[in-house]
Amino acid sequence: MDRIGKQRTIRVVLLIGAFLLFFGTAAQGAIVGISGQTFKLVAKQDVIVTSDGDSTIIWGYAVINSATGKAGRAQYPGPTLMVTEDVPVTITLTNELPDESGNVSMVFPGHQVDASDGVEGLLTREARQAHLKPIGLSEKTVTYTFTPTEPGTYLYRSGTRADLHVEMGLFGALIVRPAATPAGGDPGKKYAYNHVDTEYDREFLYLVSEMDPLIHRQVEEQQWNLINFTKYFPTNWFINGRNFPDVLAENNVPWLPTQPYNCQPRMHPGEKVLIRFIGAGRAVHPMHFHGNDFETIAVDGRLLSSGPGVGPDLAWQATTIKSIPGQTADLVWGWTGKELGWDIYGHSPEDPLEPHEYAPNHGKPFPVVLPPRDAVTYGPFYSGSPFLGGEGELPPGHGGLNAAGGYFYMWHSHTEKELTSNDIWPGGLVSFMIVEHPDVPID
Amino acid sequence: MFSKKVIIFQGLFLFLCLLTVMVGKAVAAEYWLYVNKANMTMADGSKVPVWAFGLDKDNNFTTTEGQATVPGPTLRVGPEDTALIIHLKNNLSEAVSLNILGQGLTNNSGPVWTNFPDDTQTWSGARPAGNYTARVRSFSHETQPGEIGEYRWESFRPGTYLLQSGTNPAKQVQMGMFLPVVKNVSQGSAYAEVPYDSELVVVFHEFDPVIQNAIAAGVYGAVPGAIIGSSVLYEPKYFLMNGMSYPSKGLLHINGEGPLFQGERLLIRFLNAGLETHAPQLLGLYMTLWSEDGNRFQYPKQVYGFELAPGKTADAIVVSPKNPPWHYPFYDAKLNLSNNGVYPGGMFSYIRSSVPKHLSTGTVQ
Repeated sequence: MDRIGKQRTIRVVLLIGAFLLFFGTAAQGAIVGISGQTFKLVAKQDVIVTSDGDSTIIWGYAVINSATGKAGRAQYPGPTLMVTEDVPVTITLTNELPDESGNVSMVFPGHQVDASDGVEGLLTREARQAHLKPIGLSEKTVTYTFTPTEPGTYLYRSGTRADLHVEMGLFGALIVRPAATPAGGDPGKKYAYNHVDTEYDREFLYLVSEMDPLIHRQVEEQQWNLINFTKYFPTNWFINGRNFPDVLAENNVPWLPTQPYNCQPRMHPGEKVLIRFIGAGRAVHPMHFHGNDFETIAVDGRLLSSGPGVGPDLAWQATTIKSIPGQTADLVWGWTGKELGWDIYGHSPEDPLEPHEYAPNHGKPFPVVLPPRDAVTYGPFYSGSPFLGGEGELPPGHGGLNAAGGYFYMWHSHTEKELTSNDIWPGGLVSFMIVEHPDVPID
Repeated sequence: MFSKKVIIFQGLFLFLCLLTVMVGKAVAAEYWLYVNKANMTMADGSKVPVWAFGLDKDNNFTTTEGQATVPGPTLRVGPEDTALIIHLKNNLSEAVSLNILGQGLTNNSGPVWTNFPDDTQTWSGARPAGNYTARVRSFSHETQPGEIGEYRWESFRPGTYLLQSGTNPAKQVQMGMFLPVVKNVSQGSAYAEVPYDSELVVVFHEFDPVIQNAIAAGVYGAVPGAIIGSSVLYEPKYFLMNGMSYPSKGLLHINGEGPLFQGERLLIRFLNAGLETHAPQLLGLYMTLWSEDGNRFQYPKQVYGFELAPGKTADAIVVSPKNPPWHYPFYDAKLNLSNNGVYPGGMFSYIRSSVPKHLSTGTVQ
């Protein structure tokens, strides 16, 4: 049986390769966004699609294409801004929200920001309401400049009528990358912070938010007087701006034009995965990561460290982390199959080790006799084989959603009602980490 | 042989020494606290009924000079004080008691039980034998309406603590019966190696006027004619920091001696006396989080915000980034930014480098 499993592994990997040649890449395993030093954004109204089949009006930040000068569509969440430590950042924001929507702005918790142009607001300077004739031409646009002094994961939000603006979608992620390889580090590797112990192989964004569709209806119908956040009752929940199962689709799919970011973490066994976790909304969500504990190495863009230069020595391990509104955390997660006690590849003891294979389990047999195919009901993500990268016979009608024979670990909110999209199950705050066979290409 | 004069002198000297030792070792901080029925004006002008603590400044209760506020006045226990004694005058029409989260009440004769729902008979200590319907009304001995009670904490730990009503807390705490109690480990230091130059005590809480009006009118709970049975449908309309919300004047000033210059340290004592979790956030500054619930961390955390659950306290140090004047927005990142649903309002203010001339807590009429 072990031998069959292995032969099938090789075959399925070849099949995946052929599939990729035809259809391009599978869901990307990376954070996408816009990098640089200067960002030109516009706040606009648009519509998103939720997985219950509804569409909801949003206000989002849109990117102005630097070549054409034209703004794209608003997006939920706003563009993930990727910048470099110690390199000054300039962000201009123009207000093109509909009449009566009011001013708009951006605040960057954790950074000392200088704001210019626009008009004075409560938290920062704001881009003036679009339909008002500006007294000065610069009032419709506001400029924010700051120099990020520390690498890490941050967020930005609207600082204007923040209860409504954040609800409507005016927020996004800000990632500050280290200026240089940390002391003792390998220039070919990736580090989240200025310490070698923050090395990672792959990174994923986990920006969580929620919506009360009633408020969006009130905005759509211009019932400004009815909007009352003391009655707030969210029924839609999002990771990176999408509900399950839309999170599993690729980044930038054409049918989700205002929700460009997916949440489909994938990895090979033994890799270190960095989860950039952001509480962008106003509610607390207990996100639960099946498969292994994670280590929280940083909060609010600051390493959990007992002193300068000692690295994340105060990191804490857990399986569930709450999203705190406005807070960010960096989680490092890994998986080798160590605790299983059997060989995930179905090796014979004399077979060579796979990359990062947990050696003490090498050649250990699968501990149970699998029941016949028709004696059980297979879940949609079962490949037909218990072995990583394996395949097996699936019953008629099975979706075959796991063509590469990966291991699916559900990463979800443990407030179980949040596993719905406006009362339709399954939806909401669910995604899956897929541990793929080392031969399955991810990027 | 000593002369009689010398002996008298020596005796007098010893007596003076003993007296000096006794005076130098002040043992207790002692306060005369009362609780009143009152109304409090919200930022939008509406009035909400509260039960508010005030300090009787001349310590006799024959007159009540102090002003009742929500939250009540900050009680300070000196670094050299081992005990806190509170004399409580109850000006409400129902029994009350006091409870400090994280501090052990010394004169505690156990909980007070009542014959639910009639509430006409009480027992103290263990559950009345054979009575399986009695319910606990108070965590410790009660002070009846019009009477004066005494509450003693004889080994008071340093830190930031929340005093709340210990009687039907789901009802009395949300009426405003809470106040901060603070004790420094030494003069000018909140905890070991946590010195500060200025201090800001900020209590987060909320008001639900519907419930509070029902309580004030006596139509709340398991009583005849009740219109609200409990706080299960709690839906706060006012989100307050020290009894105030934006744009109230005097919201959140720094209780220091003077302006904060570059490099000087501001201690912020955070308390959540409400029923909901909040997420205090500073915009543009980091703070060093040093403690929770009066327990100093071995290693502090650098954050710009954090979760503050009901009943919790936390202490953080903010280092003044420059010379005055400066101000930084300070608000609830859960975005409770309205007064009865109207933006802007709620838990939003600024941390300022200077000392405003206003009261620090919401006052009542």
